[in-house]
Amino acid sequence: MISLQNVEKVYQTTSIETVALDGINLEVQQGEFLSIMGPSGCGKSTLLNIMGLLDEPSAGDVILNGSKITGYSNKQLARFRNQNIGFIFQSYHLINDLKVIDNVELPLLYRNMSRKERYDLSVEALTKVGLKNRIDHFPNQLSGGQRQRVAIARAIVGKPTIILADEPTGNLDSRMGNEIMDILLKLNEEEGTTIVMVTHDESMALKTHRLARLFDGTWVEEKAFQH
Amino acid sequence: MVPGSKKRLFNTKSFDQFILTQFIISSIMIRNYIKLTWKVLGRNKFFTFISLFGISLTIGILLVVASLFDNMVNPSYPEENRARSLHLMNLKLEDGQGASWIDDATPYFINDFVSKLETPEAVGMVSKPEKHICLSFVGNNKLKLDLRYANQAFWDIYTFDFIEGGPFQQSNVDNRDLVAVISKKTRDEYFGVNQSAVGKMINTDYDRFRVIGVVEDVAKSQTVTYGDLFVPYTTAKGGLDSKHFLGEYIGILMAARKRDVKKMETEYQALIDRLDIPAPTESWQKNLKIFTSETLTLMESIAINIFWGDQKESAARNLRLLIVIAILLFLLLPALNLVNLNASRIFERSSEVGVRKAFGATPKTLMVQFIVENIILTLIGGLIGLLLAFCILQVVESAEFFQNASLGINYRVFVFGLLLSTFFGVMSGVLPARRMSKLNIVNALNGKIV
Ligand SMILES: Nc1ncnc2c1ncn2[C@@H]1O[C@H](COP(=O)(O)OP(=O)(O)O)[C@@H](O)[C@H]1O
Ligand SMILES: [Mg+2]
Repeated sequence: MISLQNVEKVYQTTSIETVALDGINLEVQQGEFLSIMGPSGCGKSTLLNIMGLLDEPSAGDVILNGSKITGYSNKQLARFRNQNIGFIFQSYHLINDLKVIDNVELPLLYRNMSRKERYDLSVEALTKVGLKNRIDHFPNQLSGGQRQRVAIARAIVGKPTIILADEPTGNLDSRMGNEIMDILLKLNEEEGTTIVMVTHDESMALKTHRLARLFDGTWVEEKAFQH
Repeated sequence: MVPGSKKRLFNTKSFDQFILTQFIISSIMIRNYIKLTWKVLGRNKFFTFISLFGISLTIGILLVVASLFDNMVNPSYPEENRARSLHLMNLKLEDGQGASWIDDATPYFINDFVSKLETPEAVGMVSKPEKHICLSFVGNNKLKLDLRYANQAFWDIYTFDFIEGGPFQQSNVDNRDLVAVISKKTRDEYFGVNQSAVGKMINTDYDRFRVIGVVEDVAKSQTVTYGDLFVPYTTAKGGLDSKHFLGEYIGILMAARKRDVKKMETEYQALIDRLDIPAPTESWQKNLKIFTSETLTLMESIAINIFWGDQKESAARNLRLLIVIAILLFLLLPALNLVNLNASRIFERSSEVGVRKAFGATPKTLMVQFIVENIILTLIGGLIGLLLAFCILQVVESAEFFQNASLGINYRVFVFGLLLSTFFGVMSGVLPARRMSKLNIVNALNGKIV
């Protein structure tokens, strides 16, 4: 499903060179829920961005759903993301001046889809996260947990096979965090969506299938859990 | 599919199908762009208002300038045929030793030579403005009337609106009838506001004329057609029997079509070249050797009006330069300003750009989105600007110099405004949109726009 082979990422700034990822190999199976932990600045976000085709590796290959991504044009990348990947960010990244429903339907705008189809799918996604009755609200009228649920609805509205979540509960208290986690677990269980999640919260990681620890751009530990 | 478009270049069904699909896809896209724009503009109402304010003001002022310019280069009532006409000027006689005489033409020159030219459809003449100020009395009030002597063709060339009556005919000219066409202003002052005047007599210290027509007023800035009283030139007291060239009459040549103007000019110059200078009848006419004359096209006459005292060629050159500078100042600066305005409007949204790209917007889609947004914004701004310009022009119109000029927003100015708005929309959208659409996604998400 997701395969990274010798992925390196080096950030070149004026004077210093930062090696964010140093020869990363990773295999994520279809339907797997992987969590990634590690101290701040160890390269977790960089890894997730490369997996999600938001950023290019300095070296190495990314293979998603059996396609080797290297050499794709911007347009091909955009189309691939649109069809296959849903993103969830720590700070939600909702568009504040758009209503909840318009935020959720955003990925569908870049498919050729009728207005009605888009609306129906968006309502369906919002129902799954329990926010059906909030479609006409604006993000700033919602709590943090609710906002993140809108972001999840946006990530799943296009029925992607992969969800990438970068510290989705990082800004939330534990009760709200657990709500979010439950939604992700349910999504993984019922729809078989492959999920890769970066987290700082060990208790969250324990609920997933596998935990991988990153330190200074390389793997240091890997644990699988039986539930 | 458009009927009949088949089997032209690509006689294959699949090609038609392809075009059809492309067409449907792009029309869906455009609808989405427009809807999205509504949402975006409705979002940050304050910023939208500020943008619109700037755009409206810019376009409003440009439209006022355009309207004034339009009024200048497309003289309206009654000079609608100016573009296919030439005005004669600078009839010049020289003795070859440094002495020269410059003036307008005599009826003899116009009737016996210019009227014989083949290209002109009509050859008109009218005496200079402010040459014959005649006096008239209404009770104890003294009226100063600018009297213009004209021939019959004058009425064919200029499209005067007659409130009542009509122009004088060739027979009136031939018979030296004391008839007059008067302006509305003259009628109102002499006969009373909105009183019928045709058939009544108007007394002046020149002659006593019978009014046969009343025309709408002409702005004083239109020196050839402005006047209070138009009468047959044959009723003039002097200058009629001169057999020389220089006199007080402005000659007007009108071609059937605009593209014949050049030919008309050539034919006129050929006439000037072959004319012999008439035998002197007055002392100053002795020893004259050289006769030259010029014609003025519309642009040239505008040019020499602006650049007084210049030769027509250099004046026209200066006018072109002036237009370029004006365009730079009036188009480029506001455009840059709008680029700036829109850039900050667009750059504000870098995190949104990141999100949209992450979820599948291509650089091209985003670019088009931003440009459509900008065009719609500027079009709305343009519309408000149009209203603004309309109001300003109402005020300008009441100023002395433009008295009687109709400065309204005509279709030319309207189209100009439309093009202008689109131009600004594209111009001010493309650069920031390009930059945004090329933004690295991760940076965009983090709000870094470098
Ligand atoms: N755009 C960038 N330019 C330069 N260095 C960067 C950039 N993004 C991240 N880095 C560096 O790469 C390393 C990994 O960053 P990141 O992946 O964000 O870590 P994490 O998400 O684990 O906190 C850090 O040292 C960070 O400073
Ligand atoms: Mg991070």
